[in-house]
Amino acid sequence: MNTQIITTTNLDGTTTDHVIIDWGNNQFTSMLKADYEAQQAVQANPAQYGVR
Amino acid sequence: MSRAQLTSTVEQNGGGSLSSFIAGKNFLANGAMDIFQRSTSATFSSGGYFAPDRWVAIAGTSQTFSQESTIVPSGFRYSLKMLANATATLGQLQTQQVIETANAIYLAGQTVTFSAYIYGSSSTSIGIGIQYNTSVDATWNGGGWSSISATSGGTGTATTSWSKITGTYTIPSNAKTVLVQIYNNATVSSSAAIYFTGLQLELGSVATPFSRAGGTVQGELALCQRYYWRGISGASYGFLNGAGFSYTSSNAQISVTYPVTMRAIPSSVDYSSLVVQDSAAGIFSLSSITLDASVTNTIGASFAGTTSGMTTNRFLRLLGSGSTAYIGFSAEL
Repeated sequence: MNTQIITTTNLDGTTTDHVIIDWGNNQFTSMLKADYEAQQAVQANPAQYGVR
Repeated sequence: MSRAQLTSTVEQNGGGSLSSFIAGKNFLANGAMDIFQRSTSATFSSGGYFAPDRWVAIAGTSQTFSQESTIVPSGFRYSLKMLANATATLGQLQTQQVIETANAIYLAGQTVTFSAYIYGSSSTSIGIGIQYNTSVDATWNGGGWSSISATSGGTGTATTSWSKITGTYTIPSNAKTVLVQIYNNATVSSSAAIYFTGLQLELGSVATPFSRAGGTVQGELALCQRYYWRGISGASYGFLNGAGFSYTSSNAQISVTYPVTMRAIPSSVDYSSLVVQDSAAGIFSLSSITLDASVTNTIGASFAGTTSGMTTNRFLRLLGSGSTAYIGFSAEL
């Protein structure tokens, strides 16, 4: 899995950072960089969503 | 006796006038494993949504989830096969479904019963469970979950004959989001497989006959598409429900309308082998796409696709370059 950051300019002139995740086999996921970083933070602690 | 128990246990089993298929009785979408929009088979080793709609894999080791049509109980077309590609310790071969607040709120303070049909390639201890979260629309991996002890049941053994596992729980009155989980309750060896279908969460203390949450397969699909939908081209240069224009020579502005209103504004878009065709029949591959947050909502999205060589201000339509090309939007929990 590889990731790439793309910065886009919105219609109002502001910019937004996106992350493109390359899963291999020509399959990709695109999301806001802020959402990607939030997911990475919680997935760093998998014990919190296993069997309790 | 609750109404659900009365109608299902007395009238249905006694040959009454009500069908066992009652939309909304079951709080779990895709309990019969009918819908696999992403893939009918996926191998992975970390958690996420890979194969059956609405069912997230917890995955602590390599495993394969697939839609099974041969090993199924009587009255069902499909089951979920969870295959261990390596030794899986307790809970590593696990799937969960998160119930959003709009539905979970009706469970708060109630007695509920979770049931499922189970099967194992060898004798395997199985556990089921329910957890709750006091946050609105909590996500499966966002933390804040607390388990609820079963007042009865909650464990079983999967064997080479289908059987039913049940557990009864009391949901705390302050619950805002609820999840159910089903998992290996002991270590399973590599190449072992467990199968589930007919998963149902209902009000009351009795497991009644299974009913799709959406009542029909089309209702079930629409329920699943509230959280994730994928359009697949199905043919070389098949249409993918999007149209737009060439904003610059390298920027395609495309809009897509969702088949159903989604739970929330999608937070991600999956895609493979997308192209656009312009009004002069030119074909341009999209190397990357980015959601436009300012014109994206629960009924449709606009996104920018990066390509090269286009003539500006031409009409575009979104296609897939091969039959397996796709675009998918996720508003999952």
